[in-house]
Amino acid sequence: MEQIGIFGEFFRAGNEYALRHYSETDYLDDEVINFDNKTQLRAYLSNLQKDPTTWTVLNTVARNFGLDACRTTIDRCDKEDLDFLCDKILSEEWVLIIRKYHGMKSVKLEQCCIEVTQFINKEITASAITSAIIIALPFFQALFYPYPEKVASMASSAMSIGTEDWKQLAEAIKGVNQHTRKIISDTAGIHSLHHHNNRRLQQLWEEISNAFA
Amino acid sequence: MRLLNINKNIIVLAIVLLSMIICLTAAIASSKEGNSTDFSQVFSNLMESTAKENKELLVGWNDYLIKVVGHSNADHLKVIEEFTKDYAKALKAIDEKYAKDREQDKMNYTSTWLDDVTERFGKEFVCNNITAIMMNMIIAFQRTDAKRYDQDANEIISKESILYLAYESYLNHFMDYYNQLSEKDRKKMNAWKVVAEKYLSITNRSHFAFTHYGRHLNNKMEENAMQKENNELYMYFKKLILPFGSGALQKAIKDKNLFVKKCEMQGLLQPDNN
Repeated sequence: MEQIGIFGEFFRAGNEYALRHYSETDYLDDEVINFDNKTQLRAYLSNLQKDPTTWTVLNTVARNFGLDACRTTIDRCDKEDLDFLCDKILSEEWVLIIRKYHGMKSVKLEQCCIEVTQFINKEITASAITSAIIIALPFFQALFYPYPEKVASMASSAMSIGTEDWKQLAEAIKGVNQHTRKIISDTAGIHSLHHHNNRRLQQLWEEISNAFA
Repeated sequence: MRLLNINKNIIVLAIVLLSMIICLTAAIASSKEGNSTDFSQVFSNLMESTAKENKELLVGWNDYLIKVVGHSNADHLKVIEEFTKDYAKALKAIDEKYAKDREQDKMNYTSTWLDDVTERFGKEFVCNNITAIMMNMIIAFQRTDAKRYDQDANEIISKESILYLAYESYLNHFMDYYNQLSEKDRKKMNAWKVVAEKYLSITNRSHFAFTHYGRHLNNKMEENAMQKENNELYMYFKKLILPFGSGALQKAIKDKNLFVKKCEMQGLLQPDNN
């Protein structure tokens, strides 16, 4: 199933394609697709285009560059726009990356995140009381039902959250009523703004907001 | 004789366990139907299981209620059932309203709000104040949501208060009755006590009020901070009439992120200044 991520990433066949500014640090060197020249880059993009389902990858990439002409299909991008895109990648100001694993590694929560997490915990508990819902799934327990000693260590320990965790969370959320989901989604969305200078935490809270939406 | 006592204890324990399982099953069954915790059903099940072995205690409980309140156990459970249904119906209605509005918000959403704010304040300003702009946008969403749901929420909170007060009244009478029983009879009514204490533990606050207004203080402080930071921007968003509410939040965040990318590409975004 194709899915566009919150930063315009495109996920297909277990891979994630994305564009990153050179100053960003949430990608590894071996995830970067390197090109020697514009011909090679154009050939790579054209090759992607041959696959009828991957044109959206290019489309997403183009959209990240604000190329409105590419809104529907890359075929409609004019040469100038595509050249602009290629130049940005070749100058290494922007990098095209491909990632085999979609997830967040080494996420460290800050105290404010823990407080929001505890609020979410209370929200779900209140919701369970009003609607007699019984919730018990691993990721839920791990992130939103932390044991007291775990809460204390949450700020200092790094977490890794993978695709499977999000799937489990999505499954667990099905049991939460719409009203509570909306409140949590909004709260997580607002909290993501507090971390506009921390890409990982911003992404985590946006994904939590997405998951509850 | 000792063996007989042990067997009796095992039977009592089994009855208690069975009663608790019945209660839990009833609670789970009600959750599947999306109702609030079905208090009357739980106590009806308890009565059914107690009637088989300890009918005299049930009669005693009923007589106690009639003596103290003037109404029977069945009268109490009937009214509590009505309150429960009323509350559950209101919960279901607001949930359906949320689901419907959320779909509608997604359909009605357009990115033009970002174009409009850019036209009004200039691209460089928007690039470097995008977090404040997004926060103001969320406050605008919340304003729309408040108009949509606060009245419904307040009605639910009043229904919940009525229900919880009824729980408390009934259960406090039960605990008084329970406390005057002999130790032997208390053991027979232990399952009732466990359930009664469980319910009493949830009636000390409005859970729906927490769900709906739990972040109200923080949200209001965010709003005040936004007004203090840039009153012109705050007033711009305050006057906005949006055709969508927070159901469009994810789409707005996505647009905001794409906008930030464009700002970065065009070199308009100052580090640590958004």
